[in-house]
Amino acid sequence: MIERKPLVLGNKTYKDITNDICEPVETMPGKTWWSMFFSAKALLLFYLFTIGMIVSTGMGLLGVNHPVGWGTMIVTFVFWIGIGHAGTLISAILFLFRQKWRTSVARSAEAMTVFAVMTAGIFPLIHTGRPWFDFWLFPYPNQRGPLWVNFRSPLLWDVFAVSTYATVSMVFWYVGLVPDFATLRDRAKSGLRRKIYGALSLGWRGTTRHWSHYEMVYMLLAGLSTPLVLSVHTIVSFDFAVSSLPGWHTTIFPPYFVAGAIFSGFGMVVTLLTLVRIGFPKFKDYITIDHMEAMNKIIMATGMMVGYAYGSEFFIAWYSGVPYEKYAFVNRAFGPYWWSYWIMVSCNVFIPQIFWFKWARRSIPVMFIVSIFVNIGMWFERFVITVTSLHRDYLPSNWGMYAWSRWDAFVLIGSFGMFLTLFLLYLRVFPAVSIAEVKPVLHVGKKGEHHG
Amino acid sequence: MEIKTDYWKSLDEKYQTPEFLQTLENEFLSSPLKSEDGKDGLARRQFMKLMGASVALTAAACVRRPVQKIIPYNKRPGDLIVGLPNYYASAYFDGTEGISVRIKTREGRPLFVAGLNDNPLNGRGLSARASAHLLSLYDPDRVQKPTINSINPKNRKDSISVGATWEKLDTRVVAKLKEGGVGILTTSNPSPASQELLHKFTVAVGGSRYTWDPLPTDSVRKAQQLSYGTDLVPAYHFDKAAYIVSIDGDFLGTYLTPVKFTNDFAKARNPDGNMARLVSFHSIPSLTTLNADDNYPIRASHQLAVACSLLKAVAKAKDGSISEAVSANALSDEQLGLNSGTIDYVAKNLVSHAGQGIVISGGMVTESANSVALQVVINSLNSLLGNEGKTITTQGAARWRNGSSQDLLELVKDIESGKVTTLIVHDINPMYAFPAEFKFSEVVQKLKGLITTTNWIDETATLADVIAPCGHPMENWNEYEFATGLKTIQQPTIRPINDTRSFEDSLIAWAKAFGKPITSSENYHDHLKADVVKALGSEKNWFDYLQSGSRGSVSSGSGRSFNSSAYSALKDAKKSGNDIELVLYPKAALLDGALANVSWLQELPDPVTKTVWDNYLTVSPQFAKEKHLKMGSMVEIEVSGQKLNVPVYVMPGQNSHVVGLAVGYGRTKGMNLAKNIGVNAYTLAKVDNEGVRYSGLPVKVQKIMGTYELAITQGHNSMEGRQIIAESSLKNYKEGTDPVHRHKVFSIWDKHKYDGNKWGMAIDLNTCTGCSACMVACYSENNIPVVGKKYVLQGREMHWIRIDRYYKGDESAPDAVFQPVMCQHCENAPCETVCPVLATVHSDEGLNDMVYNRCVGTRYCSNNCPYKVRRFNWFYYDSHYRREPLEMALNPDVTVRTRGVMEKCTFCVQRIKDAKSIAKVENRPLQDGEIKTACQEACPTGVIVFGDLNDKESAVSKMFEAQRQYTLLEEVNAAPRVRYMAKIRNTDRIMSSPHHEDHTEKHSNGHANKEEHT
Repeated sequence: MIERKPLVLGNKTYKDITNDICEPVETMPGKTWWSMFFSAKALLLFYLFTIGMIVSTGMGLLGVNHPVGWGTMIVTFVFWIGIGHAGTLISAILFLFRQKWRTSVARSAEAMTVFAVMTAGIFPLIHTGRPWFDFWLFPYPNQRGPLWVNFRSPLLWDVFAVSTYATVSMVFWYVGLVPDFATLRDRAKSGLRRKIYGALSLGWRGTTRHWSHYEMVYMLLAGLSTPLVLSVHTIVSFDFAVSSLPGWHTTIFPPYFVAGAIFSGFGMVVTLLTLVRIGFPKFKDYITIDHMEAMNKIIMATGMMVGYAYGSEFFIAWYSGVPYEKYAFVNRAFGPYWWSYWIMVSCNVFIPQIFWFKWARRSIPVMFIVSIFVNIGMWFERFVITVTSLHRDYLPSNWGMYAWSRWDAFVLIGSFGMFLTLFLLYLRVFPAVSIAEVKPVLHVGKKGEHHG
Repeated sequence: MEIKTDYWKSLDEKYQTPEFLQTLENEFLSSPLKSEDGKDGLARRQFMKLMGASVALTAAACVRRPVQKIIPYNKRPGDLIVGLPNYYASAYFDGTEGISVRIKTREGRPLFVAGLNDNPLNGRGLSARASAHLLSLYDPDRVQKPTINSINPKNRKDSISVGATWEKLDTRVVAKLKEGGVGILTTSNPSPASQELLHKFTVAVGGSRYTWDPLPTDSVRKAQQLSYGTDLVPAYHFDKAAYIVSIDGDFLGTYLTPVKFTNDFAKARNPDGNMARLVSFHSIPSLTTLNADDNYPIRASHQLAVACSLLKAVAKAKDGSISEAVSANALSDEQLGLNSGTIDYVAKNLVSHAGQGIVISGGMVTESANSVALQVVINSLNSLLGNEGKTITTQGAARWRNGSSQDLLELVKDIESGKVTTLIVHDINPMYAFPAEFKFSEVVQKLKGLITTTNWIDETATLADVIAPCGHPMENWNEYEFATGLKTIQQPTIRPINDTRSFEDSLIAWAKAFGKPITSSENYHDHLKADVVKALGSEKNWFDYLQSGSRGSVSSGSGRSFNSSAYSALKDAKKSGNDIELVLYPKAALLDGALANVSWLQELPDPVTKTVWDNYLTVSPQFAKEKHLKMGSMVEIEVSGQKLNVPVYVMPGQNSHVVGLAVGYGRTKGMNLAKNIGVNAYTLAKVDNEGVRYSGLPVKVQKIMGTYELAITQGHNSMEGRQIIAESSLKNYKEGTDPVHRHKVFSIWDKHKYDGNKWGMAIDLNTCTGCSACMVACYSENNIPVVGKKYVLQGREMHWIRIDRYYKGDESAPDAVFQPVMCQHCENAPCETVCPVLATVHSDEGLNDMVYNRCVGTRYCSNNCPYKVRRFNWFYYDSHYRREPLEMALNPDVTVRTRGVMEKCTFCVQRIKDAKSIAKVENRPLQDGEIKTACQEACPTGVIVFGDLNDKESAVSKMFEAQRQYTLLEEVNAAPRVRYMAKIRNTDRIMSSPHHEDHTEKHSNGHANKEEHT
């Protein structure tokens, strides 16, 4: 029998677990957190300013033009949506597959999902020419006929996909938090604190009946979220695949996008959790190196899937015999945007290969650097798909370049401000590891204890 | 107080208690009419006082709502129905060509200029300039009123302009006239009545006249005089030609009458009938070059040599003798830089098409020291071939082109000698257009008076004592005789917007005030009308004339024989050129630069270079390679001491010893829009005893630091082997080979059904010369915003119709093709399915409608459009028209788009609706051809045909069945509503078969700037 490795290190008792995990929520943050928070918040304010400028002045501030109608905003939208996938995958799919190691990373991964989807959700709204009319994208009863939305448009599917995903993942996350909120409520010393967490915990008393309902709801939500993991990015990929543009019009897009999303999502989870481990040293016992290694394996696996998709795209471009398609792919790799293509391939396919080595999989600096490369690579993947396909399509007379402006950089960087602000706040007000879920796996891998 | 009541409400009332009576008195508490009023009589007054004061306060506190006049027709003029357009026949003279136009007005303001259909002057259609001169009417920079400058006459420098009245101005002018020494400088004037008045005026004031054109024709006339004894510019009949050789004669773009020539040329280019061949020898690739079947780059200094070699070869073929002077100037193919046999080959063809050929040369590009000799040889060639009298006639010749650079030399001499002390300048901007060598800014200091009639406070006007703005052609009467015998009326379509007065009216007023009236009429209109009525017999005929726009017909001409003594002009011909020769040339859109302040023209891509908002030094790819130059590299050019810094444009098909620079740019004053765009190439022209030289100038080109961003709307010039423009040789086509590689497409869906109309458009690529008149017409009709150079660089130009220009073959002498592309109104429109809010939908007449109000601006439609014809309003681009009175140019039938919405070609849906309404009111079916889109109306060659596809007899239906028809990107199966007719090239060269070629073709122009810089 293969010996199981313990999922929680350091000979913890149940009380230790509660204390360790509640500590960041119950103590005043240190200088590091404050400085990080204020930087992130400054960035967020800058982001709001940028959005304000773009909305009030016009989309023309960005580099989007004719023929490249979509640019940084859509690229970054897909980037953030992709990031969101890891959370749901870990919390829902791994839950259904009874992967016990997920328990300690699920909470933060889910939080990341929620924040990433929130960050992403802003982009389609502000990237329109007239954002004040964005509500027209929703099918609501109106006095114009009524005039409905176009159900044939992938952008509309996108509206539904993203809003459903945002709702379900938020509910899922919240339901998981309920028992932990109750713990925080019970430990609260001040009245206000007790009231807030009391309200958040929805009157949780930890009775058997509560647990029984809770587990059922959690499983049902996991079941509901699982298809969403696949569907959201599939539908996001339809934005491209359903069009007639060479380089977009590809049947491989749905699985390719999903694999890419999981890849990028795990990349971001690793980035954040390495930082969390540094910020809260006690968490190292819960988010162990074994957890990180498991995620690195997934990164390598999905990275190779994405690599396969890159290769397969080229094969089909040649095999299809369509000259436009052929040109689009040759242009990707060797056209004026060759650098973006090779950044993408290097970051997504070549660099994660280092995880074949166990030492690399278990080295925090290595995995941190690789995960950053994965993030960069996946942003460039969307850039390559969006921009290099658009900039040279059917009629050479239309060919042009993306007119990258400083505002493009501002929205891209600014969006990190929003994401990081939310994530840093989360670390201080929510238990960053699921107390209720870690306790049942405390015994796993412990010698002399043989529970189920 | 006692109140009698039969009914009571309460017991109190019934018993009339004091309390009740008290309440009764106070019942109307708010009323000022209290019972006390009666007692002292003051409360009421107080009330009135307070009311009065508060009313006064209210009035004082609020500003009265501004008076907004709505349509001020209390009594409507009889011929005007509000909301319906009126059309006027008129004419427009753009400095080289006169065009019969039809001006559309709405509620008294001109809105759109179209070519007058089937007019005897130029047939149909118009030029980009004629279309665009509408916008100059509403130019905010125009001088608003007669202006007197406070200027130091001893040292004419920048001045302060003060508005004045015409009376004041006239007094000033007459005082100057009385001092004597009057000189009058104008351009060639095609108006006989104006000429006559000007002549009388000159005599009356005892002055002298000087005539000069920035676009010269003097050497043509001089050579005609030498060769045939007639001083005129002959008429060319391209419709009768079968073989045309142009030696730098850009007759399709800038030389003489390009609209008429284009019109005629198209008639001779029917691949199913007679198809003429066009061969171009050129130093600077022009529109003519790009339309040529075969083209040969030469040096500018070899223009004469090519003509002589051709003449020599033709004479040899005809067994004729050849003048010594001619053979002395002839060169071999190798010396000319041509493949051996070229000259003989062309000559052979010329001979076999004797009497049906045209050899043409002329314009600024040929104005070198040898220009008269060149024209003599050209005349000799045409005469020898029997073309003279057949394809080149004196019938319809222009006799009004009398500008001469000799006059200019004389003028300068006369000012310096003191003969001319007061100069009246009309239609010329000497401070801008004179060669720097004249040092006119110094010459002008000798003047005691300078009077200009310009409409802008331009380079000359700032030095003038008096500015008497002559107004816009649309505000003034005139009558022209562009072709001898045929007269054309220019009638105003709006009262002068500013306080302006036509040049002729000024002359009449000045002469009268001077004491020697030149006409008995009150003003020029009366003078003109009296003349015409006298000639036509009755006043009714005058109105008929106004309706038809022209009278008379071109006078008959007689055959002429060539006088060989003309060869004397070859005696001093310069045989050797310079190592690098600079050629100044006018651009097809902007021409001499008179309309430089018109944004439509500045943003109109040059048909050849597809560059906007700039001029640049065109160099050959080989030259660029040798000098390590790229698109936009800065160079310093030096022509005998005159230096200019200009960016480089690498031009395929240009001789590597030639560099070219366009005139019409580099304005420094007055025209705010055109200010500081490009450099003023006029200054580089050289002056010698014979006149002004623009061609073959010795130049030093030196690379300097820095690069410059050229705004190029089409960055890629190769078709990448795709079938975008289907093309075949005439031989293959005649043999029945399909010029198009066709695809089998099918759909699992049913097609849309159309019960009523089903609109479609056909475009004949064979006769599209790329002149771009359609683009400007589209601007004008559809309120298309101009975005400026900065945004063109970012790829944000807004053209609804664009002309794609591709090169094919070797970059040293490539073939070029043009293709107008607008929204294709696809049956399976890719844009329609992807719009999430249904802002772009299919109409029941097959149009792809764009609903601006509904558009949120996702831009998905544009991304999914294979033709990329959709344009997005990135900013409030409509603000371009938000300067008074520029907004008056906006077409009220078309929505002005706001920021954040997509827009595109609508097939001029407003015109469709108009025509349908009219047909319905008249209770008749719509006729084929009744609806004309703006681009169709502008096109001089009838390339664009629009109509109903459900009508099997319509012109467009027939074109949809034609052998040459094909759809662009057929294999995408968007099923466009636009069909193109394949281009047929009349060449003996072997052309590749119409298949997707491999991508081995070289990018003829590299990745041009738009790609590199953005």
